[in-house]
Amino acid sequence: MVLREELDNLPRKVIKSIKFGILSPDMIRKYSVMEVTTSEVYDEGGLPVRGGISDRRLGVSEPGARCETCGQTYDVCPGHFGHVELVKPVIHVSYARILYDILRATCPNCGRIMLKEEEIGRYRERLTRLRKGWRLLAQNLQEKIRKKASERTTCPHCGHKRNKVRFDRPYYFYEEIESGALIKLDPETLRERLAKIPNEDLELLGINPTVARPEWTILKVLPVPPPHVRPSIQLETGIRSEDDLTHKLVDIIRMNEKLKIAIETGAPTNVVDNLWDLLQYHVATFFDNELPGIPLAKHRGGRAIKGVAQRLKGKEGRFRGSLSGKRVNFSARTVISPDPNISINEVGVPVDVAKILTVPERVTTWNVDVLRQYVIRGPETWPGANYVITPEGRRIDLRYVRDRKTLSERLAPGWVVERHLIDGDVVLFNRQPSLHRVSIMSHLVRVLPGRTFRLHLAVCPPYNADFDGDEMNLHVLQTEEARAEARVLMLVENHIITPRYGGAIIGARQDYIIGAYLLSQKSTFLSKKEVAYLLGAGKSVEDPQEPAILHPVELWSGKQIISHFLPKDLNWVQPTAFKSKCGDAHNCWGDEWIIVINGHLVKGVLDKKSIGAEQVDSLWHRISRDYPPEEARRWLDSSLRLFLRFLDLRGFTFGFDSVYIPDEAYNEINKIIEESTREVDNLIAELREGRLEAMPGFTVEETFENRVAEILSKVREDAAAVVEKYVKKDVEGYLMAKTGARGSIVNIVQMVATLGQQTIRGERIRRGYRTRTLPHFPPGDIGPYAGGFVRNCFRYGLTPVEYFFHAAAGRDGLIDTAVRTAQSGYMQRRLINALQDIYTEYDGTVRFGEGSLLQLLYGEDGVDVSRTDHGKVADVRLLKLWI
Amino acid sequence: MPLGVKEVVVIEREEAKALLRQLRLKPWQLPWIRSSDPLVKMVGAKVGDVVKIVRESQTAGESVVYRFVVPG
Repeated sequence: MVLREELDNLPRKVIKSIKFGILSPDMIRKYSVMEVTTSEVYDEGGLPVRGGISDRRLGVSEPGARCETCGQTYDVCPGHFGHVELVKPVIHVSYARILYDILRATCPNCGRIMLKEEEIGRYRERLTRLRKGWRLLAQNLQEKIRKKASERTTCPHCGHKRNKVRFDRPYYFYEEIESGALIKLDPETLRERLAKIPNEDLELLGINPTVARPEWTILKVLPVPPPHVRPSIQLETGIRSEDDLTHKLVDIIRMNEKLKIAIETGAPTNVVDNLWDLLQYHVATFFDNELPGIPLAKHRGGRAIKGVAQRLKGKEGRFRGSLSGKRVNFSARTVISPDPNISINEVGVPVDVAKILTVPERVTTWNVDVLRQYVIRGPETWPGANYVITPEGRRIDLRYVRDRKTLSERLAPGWVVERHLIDGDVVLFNRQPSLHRVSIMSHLVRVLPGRTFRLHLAVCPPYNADFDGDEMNLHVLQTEEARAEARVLMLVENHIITPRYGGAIIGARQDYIIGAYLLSQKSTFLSKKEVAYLLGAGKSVEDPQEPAILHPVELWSGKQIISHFLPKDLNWVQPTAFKSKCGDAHNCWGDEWIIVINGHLVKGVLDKKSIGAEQVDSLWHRISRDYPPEEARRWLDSSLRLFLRFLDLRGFTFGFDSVYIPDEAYNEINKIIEESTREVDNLIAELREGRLEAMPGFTVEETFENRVAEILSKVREDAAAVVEKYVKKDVEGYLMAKTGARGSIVNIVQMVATLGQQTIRGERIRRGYRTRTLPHFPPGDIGPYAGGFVRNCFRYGLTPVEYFFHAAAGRDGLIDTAVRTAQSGYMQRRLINALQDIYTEYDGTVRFGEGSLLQLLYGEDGVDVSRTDHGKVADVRLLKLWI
Repeated sequence: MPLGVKEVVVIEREEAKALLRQLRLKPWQLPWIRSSDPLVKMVGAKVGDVVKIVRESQTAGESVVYRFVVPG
């Protein structure tokens, strides 16, 4: 509280701009509190050597000691930079590339830019004009000026003929003289040349000389960061372990000393040059140890040293790892598993988790009794509490409170109790990768036994979750505002309609669909007992309607039970998946059309088309769209439970007998396959005899492959027709495929008829083979079977050769998905980074973060997709229906 | 006229000023179009002009875009 007041009284300042520049040697010396003069770090007593790299003047990194510059302890002292005077200057690697550009554009003799006086005047005028409002264009112009200047070889100012400068990455510069020989340019010469360039000429090259003179990129003085940047770690054994940067600095200082001695003793130039080069190497790797063309600086153990660049770069670097992404408290992560009995709004939380995660609750006169009970139960028993915060702001850890009863009696308004998570708390639930809005939604807590988070099956699609070991994260909201926002904006029921295309992303799937279908069939009748059971499953407290059959026993139809839960004012007509040619919904036999009148399902079976997710113009779409989210959620919750319970009651199984077609069917299928094989054989003959004519834009071979692929893919289609004809219509596999619960006709065909053509990268199997795919075929065989055509089905088994091709195609699919996810992930990352601060203004325009215009009207039509029906603003047909 | 473009006009100074005031934009905060763009040449717009372009739109049928002519 005290701190808050102090913060309020602090003078406020606004950052208007940030300038980036290069430190000049003078500035480095000015910022420095000391010169590092010795490579020794600690003396025999283990104390820091004065003038060494761990000098107490730079700041202290262990508790107890005091900084000699500011006199503060390690947690308050901000650390102070020191410096090293380099005996000979070295190039800062990160600027080498820019140096090269500058060197090429300027005269080595007089330092002027290689442009005529009148050109300079013209460009300068244009540049100042552009810099006012056209920063991007100014950059283009600078680039143009640089190119132009670099093309000149004779200086228009002093007439000096410029030699070609060569740059050898990462930090070597050479001059090419007329004879073609290369002369090395050492940093000292470079520095002299750069220092000659006048400020006005630098401006033409896009360099602001007040903050970044080019000669400052040649380091005469090296800043030494304080120990806070490179803390040493005390191991349990008492041995001190130094940071990578410290090691690197020691290397630099040591090399500097050696170089100094060599120069003072008048060592031969090549020795001095070698040492100088080594100093350059150490300084370069201090900044960046991943430079191309030079060896990595390594520890004795062989581990590469982390340079300054490595600390910042990449996913685990300072920016992406420590600033954009941080670890949070009040969160939990565990495996998820399904629970069809909770609401889609809920999440099952293990008791063990609920006892660790807490919610701060303020004590009021109304909740004091309950909170007292929590405090008395303490941290061990759920529902209890882990901490109590007194009005003074003191945190009491209940683990160490002997007498919780007395403490609980002291609770009064003004105190805060951090109680365990209990049923009904709002939490955020998330599954990575968080690709869209509905990857994080808020759920209401249901504390359950077990060790996994429990999730309703219908909310799997938004998270893209399954239960093969997926883990999810849970975050407990800590403030009242956050809880209110999450409850109103982020609850699952408010995200049934996705903003992606304005349709339901949550809906019935798999078991629910087949259960709904079976329940809604005309032949389904239920006894009173069963009805009571099912209505109970749907958590209905209302009486069922009058039974459809009164005598000799009271029986209710399945449709009556479904109607029991439908909104009473719902009217809807739509075709089912079983729709035949019959076009008039009201004049059709059978259950081909769904007709709902005033909440009564009078006709039609339910299937994926009517209650599934992502279906246009469906019963569920209407319910989720036309009724409040809460009502839609309630319907889904109770109906899904009902469908599942009915499926349990009836029983549903899929076995060997379910995939059966009679012998006549096999005769037909065999005929189809033989016919196709013959066709392919004819094609091969045509190809061999050279009679095959190439299709436009293809070679003869490609034409052949296309034709074969066409013929063989037709086999599966034709077989599908045969299967459709002969398969029993009440067989489970067929029902699942037809209602859309799971699988498709193709799957059934593969089970009972033929697997058909196997492909790798969209081609028949031939990739990577020369004359034949397997030794089971003659060389040069390009027939259907050598190309991966599988004639058999799963029911009767594959031959070894067929099995091999099937496995190959299966692996290809796996690789394909892996590659696709990696590629689209990176693509999405780039898109998000580019688009992140675009927003829609209150006037309907779309703007960039700084306010510039992107679209005059959002999406050009100003429509919020999440308020549309699958992108359509209003359904005219529907309006007619209402009238 | 290029495919999808229905109308291109240079708008009057005064009109442009009013538009920018309404949108609370500085001229360069509008989307840009280069003076070398065939569309700009067609209507003879100069650098610094604002052109109004009416295009076909998948979502709205027709959409209006204002672009600021920049050098290049």
